[in-house]
Amino acid sequence: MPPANADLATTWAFLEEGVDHIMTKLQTGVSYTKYMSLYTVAYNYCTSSKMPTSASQDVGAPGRSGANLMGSDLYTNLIRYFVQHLRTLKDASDPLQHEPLLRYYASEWDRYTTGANYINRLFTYLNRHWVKRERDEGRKGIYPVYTLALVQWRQNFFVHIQSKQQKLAGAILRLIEQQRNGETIDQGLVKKVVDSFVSLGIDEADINKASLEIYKAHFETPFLDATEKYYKQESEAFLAENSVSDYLKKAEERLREEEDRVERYLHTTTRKLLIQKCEHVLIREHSELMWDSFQNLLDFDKDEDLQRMYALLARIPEGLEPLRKRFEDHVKNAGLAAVAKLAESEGADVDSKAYVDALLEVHTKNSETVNRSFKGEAGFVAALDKACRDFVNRNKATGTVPTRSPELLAKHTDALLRKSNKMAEDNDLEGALNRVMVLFKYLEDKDVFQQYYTTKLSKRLIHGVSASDEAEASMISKLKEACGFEYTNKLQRMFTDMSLSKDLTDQFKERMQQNHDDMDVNFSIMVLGTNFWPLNAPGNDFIVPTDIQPTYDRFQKYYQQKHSGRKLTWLWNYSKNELRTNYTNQKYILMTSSYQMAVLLQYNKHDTLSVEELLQATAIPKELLVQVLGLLTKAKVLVSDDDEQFDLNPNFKSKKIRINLNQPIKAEAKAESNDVLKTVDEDRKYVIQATIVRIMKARKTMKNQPLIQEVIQQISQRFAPKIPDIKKAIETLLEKEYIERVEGTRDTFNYVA
Amino acid sequence: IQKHKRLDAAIDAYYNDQATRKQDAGPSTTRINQLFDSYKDPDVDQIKVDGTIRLCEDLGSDPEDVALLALAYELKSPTPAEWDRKGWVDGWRALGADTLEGMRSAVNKLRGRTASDPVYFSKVYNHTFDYVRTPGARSLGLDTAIPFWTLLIPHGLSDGAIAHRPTDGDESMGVEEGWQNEYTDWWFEFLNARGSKGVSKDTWSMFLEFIRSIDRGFANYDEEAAWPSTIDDFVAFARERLGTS
Repeated sequence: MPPANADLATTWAFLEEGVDHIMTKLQTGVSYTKYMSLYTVAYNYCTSSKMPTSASQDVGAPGRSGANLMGSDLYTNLIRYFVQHLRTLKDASDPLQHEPLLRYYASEWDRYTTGANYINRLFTYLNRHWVKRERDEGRKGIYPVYTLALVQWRQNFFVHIQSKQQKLAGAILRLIEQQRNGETIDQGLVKKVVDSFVSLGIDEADINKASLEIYKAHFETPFLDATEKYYKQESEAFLAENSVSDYLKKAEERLREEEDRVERYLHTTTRKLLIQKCEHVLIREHSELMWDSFQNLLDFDKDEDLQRMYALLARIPEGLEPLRKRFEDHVKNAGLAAVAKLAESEGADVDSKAYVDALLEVHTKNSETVNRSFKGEAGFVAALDKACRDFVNRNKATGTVPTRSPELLAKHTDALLRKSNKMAEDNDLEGALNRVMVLFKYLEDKDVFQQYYTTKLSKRLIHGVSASDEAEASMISKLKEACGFEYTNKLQRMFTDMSLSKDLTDQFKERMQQNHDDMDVNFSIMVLGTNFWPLNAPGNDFIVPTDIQPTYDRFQKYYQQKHSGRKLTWLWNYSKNELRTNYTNQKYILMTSSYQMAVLLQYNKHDTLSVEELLQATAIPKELLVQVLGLLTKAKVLVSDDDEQFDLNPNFKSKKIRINLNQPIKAEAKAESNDVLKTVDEDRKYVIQATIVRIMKARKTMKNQPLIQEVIQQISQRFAPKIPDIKKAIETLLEKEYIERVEGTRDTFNYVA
Repeated sequence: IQKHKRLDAAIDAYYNDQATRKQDAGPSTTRINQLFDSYKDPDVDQIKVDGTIRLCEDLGSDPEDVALLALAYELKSPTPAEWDRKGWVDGWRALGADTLEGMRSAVNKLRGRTASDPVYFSKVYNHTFDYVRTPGARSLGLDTAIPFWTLLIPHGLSDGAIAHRPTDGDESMGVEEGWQNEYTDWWFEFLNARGSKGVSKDTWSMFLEFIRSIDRGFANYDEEAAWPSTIDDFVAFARERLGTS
């Protein structure tokens, strides 16, 4: 060991021997004492010069401190050593290529970096003082010893190999390609070499910061190019021989592999670029083909393939929109076709249940597709909704009548809620109602549904044929949830009326039992609010038969006492009666309408009556009377030879004891439908006007266009208002002076308070 | 036309000068009142039908004269063939006439102004709706509306009061490009065929705006704008007729 104040030559000779040992024969070991003495020598050399002596043998540049000079000497010698060391490696690597080159490179890299680490520590003092000072003063090209070693490696070895057609990177790419081709490769080797690329990137400004410059320039860029080329070639070749379904699988697999590749041996920053590149080559480049095959997959319910296609195309931003559009068309066509098929077999008058079932089937099936294959993605949900809205409102069965769908759906709901419906379990009924709501959501003319529903509900309640109050309430709460309180207000009032009427009937009965003992007529009443029930009073006269006159009068009086000022209108056209026959051997009970009852009661006093006499006695209009008589003769309760004289049939016979004569008269059903539409039209006028007034009240002044837009927007929840109707409503309001034109303008309105 | 207008103005100025020179204190209220008395109904303080007929004769104007609609506007006549004293006095004072002679020339001037002054025409036109409708009625029956349109529209078209005013403000197009007299007949034909109940105030006043803004071929009509639906339908009707002829 040289003395503390030994000169450079002596010192370096000692150090070089040690350094070389560490760099080339570390495996043989270095004793602690040896290592310590090396350290001490390096330390001594650097510090000795600090003493104000002329011990320094070399003459440095003037103005520089001794320490600078001393450090500089050691540093220069180290560089010289590294260059020389690396020349040996370079020479040895020259004949090598491909994997052997990688192996040689990797093992030398290991040995070199390990050694450099030790050396670095050996020269800690140099690093801390001389190197730091130099760097602080801004000198370029001075690094701590370990970094210096890397820089030297790069300049004298790495760049040299790479300069020969990128021999090193090329060898890695070759391995990767082999792996892509399905061969097994030494991934650890690749990783080691790739890692060395990362380590060799040195940020000049801050050596502690990693720089990916070398990695990117020497590896990443060529790697990405090779990837693109590889997959472009592969995907095209694959598609030339295989189906799109197979390709979807392949692409999915490839993308997964590349993700793994990043994990295994690439720098994480490459992930994004690599995946983007793969998505571009594997997906975008073939997206047209995928879009075009989409329909086929839908047609054959290839769920898995759809799922795959969705997942792949979802990776590129513009990938899904064409699928959504195609899906929308597909659903729409499926819906139209389903209805068309139905209309073909059933004619224009489709059965409401079959119709609803057909619509639901299309919706259910495609809704499942959305959830299963498209993960319920919002864009596909919207496409499904749009398609359903289209075919639910306009199809072969509706023709050009926009109110047909709401009518059929209401009819179907009515059938569900009737007693006659044999839904085994309540769950089934609840489920069926929920399915009705699925379609209801798509109706444009919800007000038409409302009107039909109200009419049907009133029938169910009046005739007592509702399946259950619970189910009725459940349906109303569903409608309320969908459209708000206003929508179901009337419906709820109808139920209130029903229960009030029941109480009223009981109370009336009780009172009558107290006051009269001649109650031979069993009487039950429904008092229904005119505003809530879609019922029309009969337009004709009617003479209350004497047999029920007392009851009629008593109730009238009782009710007026209870609620003075209320007007009672008797809806004979909705009333029902039961008559017992005493003139036949077998006693029958005839269930009749009021008109039938009025006619039959006349026969309590006569056995035969002419049409003329019946007209006088009942005041039923002739048209109606003829129909009533027609039904009664058909049932053989009355008999007639000439349709002029009607006799009571004393030999009336029937298998049943209770006979329902109360058949609806044909014209009624048709008239009902017309009534509904007329009511809807009237209602719409008011809804539009009320909406305009509400908007104008809030805004005070508004231009024509925005006003119309706002009206449409607010009303579309209930129905789709037509612009001419809105304009007419505006005119009506102008005329009624709720609004006025702002003077001097043609298209601006003011609210008139 | 320009020259004619200037001449008109010169004559106006001449008469006005003379009038002011002759009566420095302005028109005499007494004389106007005396004239009112001479036409007035014996039972009420109003000029009624008889008085109106005599007045028309004295003024030398036809009862079916646009100038009378303008006069009704000026004198605040409450309803056809009725004139209140206050409106009569204030109106004639404002018009600067206290003699039959002066009134005659004032009426002539009103006639001319109604034909040439767009703003004034609008005032008289819109006033006419309220003036001639049955009290309490919201709209004007066709049998009333059509005669008054017949009176007003050709008059307004005759001297520029309802000249075509393209919406972009280009005034150079002139009368030929806009509403044609025969279109007025189409309008009546359309209304009659349609069997509409009556003409609302809005339709009445918007119809004037419509005549002013529409081009000859009904091409610039905007269905999206706030026109009354009657006019929407009329445009469809007129376009079809133009297309077939």
